Amino acid sequence: MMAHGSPLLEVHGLTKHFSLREGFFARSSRVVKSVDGISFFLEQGETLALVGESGCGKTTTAKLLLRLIEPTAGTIRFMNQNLLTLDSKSLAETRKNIQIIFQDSFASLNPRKTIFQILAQPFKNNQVPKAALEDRVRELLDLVGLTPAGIFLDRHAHELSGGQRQRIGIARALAVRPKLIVADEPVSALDMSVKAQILDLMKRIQKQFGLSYIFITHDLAVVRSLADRVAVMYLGLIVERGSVDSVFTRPLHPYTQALLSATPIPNPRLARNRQRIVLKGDLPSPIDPPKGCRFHTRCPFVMSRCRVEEPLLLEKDEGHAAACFLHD
Amino acid sequence: MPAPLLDIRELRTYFHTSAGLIKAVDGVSLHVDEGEAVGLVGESGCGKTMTAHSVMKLVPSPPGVIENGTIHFQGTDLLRLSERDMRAIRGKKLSIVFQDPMTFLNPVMKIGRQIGEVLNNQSDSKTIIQLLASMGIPEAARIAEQYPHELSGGMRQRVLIAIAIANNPALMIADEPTTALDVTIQAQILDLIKTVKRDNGTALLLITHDLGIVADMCDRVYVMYAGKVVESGDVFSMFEEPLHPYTQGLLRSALSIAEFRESLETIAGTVPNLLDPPKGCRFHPRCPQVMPVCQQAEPPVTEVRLGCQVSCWLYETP
Repeated sequence: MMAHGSPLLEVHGLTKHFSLREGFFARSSRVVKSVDGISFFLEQGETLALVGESGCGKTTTAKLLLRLIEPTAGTIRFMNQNLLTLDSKSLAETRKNIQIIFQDSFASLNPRKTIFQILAQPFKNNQVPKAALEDRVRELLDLVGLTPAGIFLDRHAHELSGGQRQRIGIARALAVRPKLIVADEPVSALDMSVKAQILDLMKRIQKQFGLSYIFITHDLAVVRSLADRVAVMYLGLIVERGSVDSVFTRPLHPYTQALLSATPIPNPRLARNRQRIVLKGDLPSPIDPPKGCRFHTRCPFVMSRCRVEEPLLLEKDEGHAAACFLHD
Repeated sequence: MPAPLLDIRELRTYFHTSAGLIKAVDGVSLHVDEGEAVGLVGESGCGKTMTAHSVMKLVPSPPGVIENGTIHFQGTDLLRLSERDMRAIRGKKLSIVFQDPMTFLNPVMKIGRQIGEVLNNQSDSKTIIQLLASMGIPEAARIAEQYPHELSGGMRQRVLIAIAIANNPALMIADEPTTALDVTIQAQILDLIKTVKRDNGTALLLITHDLGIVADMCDRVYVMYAGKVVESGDVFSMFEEPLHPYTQGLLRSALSIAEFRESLETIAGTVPNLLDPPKGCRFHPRCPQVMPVCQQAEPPVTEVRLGCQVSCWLYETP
């Protein structure tokens, strides 16, 4: 971790509103507040997990970080540059340092290209001479545990298993030696035994290259063993943020408490002796989120104030912040 | 001891595909007692869903054929029943909840009418609304007048459970009932299944890949790998003293919110292709304790402790 200076990534007030047009000539349009003013930072070599359920804005946040979509408001500082004001040439240069891994490795790999072609592309983009390409690709395949590399070079994505495809996705992200990898539910589609293999690989290459991760997931069990810090999102907002250790052992926000208590534990004694908070009702729609605290419609501790006033994300313990009036 | 409610013996469900023969379920034996909750766990393609579909006689045929075995339910061998007799049992004494409610619900029929159909159209709307309300569905009268697409995933799953228990079944099979749901909604649905089980004494066969759900919900567990049951036993023995190297590997690689794992122990390799499964023990190419015999012959079933069985050569004394 960096001792001084600014963090690798610093996000402030990041906002993305999508407008929904209802009909071609519709005058008024409704707005989906997909991400509604979130702030966080990430140090070099660190993993920050963004967790939450459907519609919380975690995937939109990933797309914003990559500038795959443009934010409505906010700033993203990466390696001391404002990503949102860079001209296209410097942006292309800076973007090499941010790579993404997707959940659906099948959709993100071109079905017509061989593994060699897929993995050689980032090197070609960076003027690596043709003669060196095969060595570089073999090196990558070794790195992600696809050995012997030779048998994978001429295969296509559909000939690989889900775990192997995710390894290719990781290899492609590593090709340009990025500083930051944004991983959007990278293990959610995988079977139990394969999931552990991929997480193990991600931990290993993080150490080896000093990588930083933004790890987007709905699975809190994965967060516990993989991330250093965690931000819990609900309907476009961060409701709690802190070190994994402190958030998991002393969750402050009732939503975090409910998420943790709803996550099954693979231990029959713990599972049967735990206090459960089962939330009532469905997730509200992000199109028209509840007024006041967005969680108030499902909160077991709701107070009258929560229905009218929006709680701010305030630090309660060192580095541990929550947006909830219970802790005022 | 009374006969089990459901008793599957040596079930073989094969698929004759253009690529070759797939032995999806290859000699599976399992039983569920009255009122018991039994988990059937394994990774994709291990045959857990096809075992359940064989019990319901819902295996698509062709290409699927139940080649061998018996499935006794309340003393009757379901495999010997005609489709007409099976219909008298399916959805009545024996019901199933699927992972994806949209493939089960009729998209052009109102919720209330779909439930009425299961109740043989004998019930008035009051009974239907009461049933929906008992599933924790708010404004049940309004929901009964809606179509499936108007409901959230969690609500649809509640409707599916309402349909499954409408006729007070002796056994409910739940096939990954919460896999498509968010975690807070999953907790609601699992709670509902527990309540139904407790209040009606319904036995449960729960099919899942989630070891956490098994730990929470089940009395006994069967672990499947590549078409076979590799281990079975009560849930505490299984999690605390797993016998089969595959079960041991799964548990070691299972992540938990309750503990931090510095290094993740994993099972090497991937699940085999069932078109050409490994000889001998199907787990041997991935097994850290593989012996020469494992590559040649299938391991027999050994009862290691009372009620705990394993198929592994490590437990066979020569």
